[in-house]
Amino acid sequence: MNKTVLLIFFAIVGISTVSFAEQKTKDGVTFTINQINATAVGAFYIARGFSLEEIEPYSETCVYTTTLKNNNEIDTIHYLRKNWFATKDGISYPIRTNDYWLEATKANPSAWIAFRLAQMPEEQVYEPKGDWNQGMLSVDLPLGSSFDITVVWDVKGKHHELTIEGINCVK
Amino acid sequence: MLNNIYKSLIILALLGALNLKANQAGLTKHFTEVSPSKVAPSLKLEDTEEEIINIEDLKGKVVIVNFWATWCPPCRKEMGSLERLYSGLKDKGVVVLAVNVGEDEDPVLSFMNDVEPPLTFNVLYDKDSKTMQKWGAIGLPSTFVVDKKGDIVYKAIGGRDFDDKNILDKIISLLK
Repeated sequence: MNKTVLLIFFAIVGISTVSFAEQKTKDGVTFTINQINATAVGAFYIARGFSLEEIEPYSETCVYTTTLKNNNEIDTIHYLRKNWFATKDGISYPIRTNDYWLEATKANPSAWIAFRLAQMPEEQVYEPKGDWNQGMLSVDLPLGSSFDITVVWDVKGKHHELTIEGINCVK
Repeated sequence: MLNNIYKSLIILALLGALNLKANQAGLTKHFTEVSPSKVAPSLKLEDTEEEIINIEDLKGKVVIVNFWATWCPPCRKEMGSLERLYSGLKDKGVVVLAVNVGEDEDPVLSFMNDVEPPLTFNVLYDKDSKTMQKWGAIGLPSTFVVDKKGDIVYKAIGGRDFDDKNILDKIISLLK
């Protein structure tokens, strides 16, 4: 029953909390970013097989639901998530890899499948006219931080990027 | 009864965690042509009725393979349109294989009980995600359309409005 009470709490908190939301389109590509509070992140992964202790290293960072969509009519886009970065006070912070989080959380194989699939893919090719993904993205900065985030992709090797400034990571 | 309440709470918690932001990108009304087409990888999985489904046995049908999970907002959002596509075309030779990735029976059956319209196509389990990897799918949802010969002719990354005319016309053209 304790777990039931916990889930009711997580459901209420998760549904009621939207801390930061932003969307930007550049060169036919749209990126959206919405903060998920730490409690809701924890709830999601506990329901997928993590313990609270296992997921805490991840949930206590700034976690967002993100989408990236290719609305170009002709161009195929390609990205590597490792090229995306956050910037705070002139210092660049990389987006952590899935392997980093696997090591940090010590997840069991079943929970790891869900974790990996719930993240924004580490590499993807989006065909034109609307391929897209939605996934979580962790910026490894303390709750309460404010930063810019830059998303990078290429079209036939030509560099493109989009920056959303002033993202708040609300506690 | 308590079990159903518990399942509903889990779903609420998951959706709460994700803040249900699937609408932010919207469902796409387009399939990408795979040209040249390529032979579909093997797919042999157990479904919710504990039957083994083998795509090899479906030659002569148009097969839509959709990789999904219950916790994935765009997957949930597109399911209704996938069911409507299937309902309209199943008698003409369209088969849908909705391959759930990484979950066990409880959340899948609970979702199937709750979703509207109710799902009547095959839902299969890819618990270790190896079939998804074999098909080259990276994110969820991912969808592949396999023609009567067993070749992948269309693909889609991300949620789709499957009963949009543009997509329906492509599927219908494969039935000729």
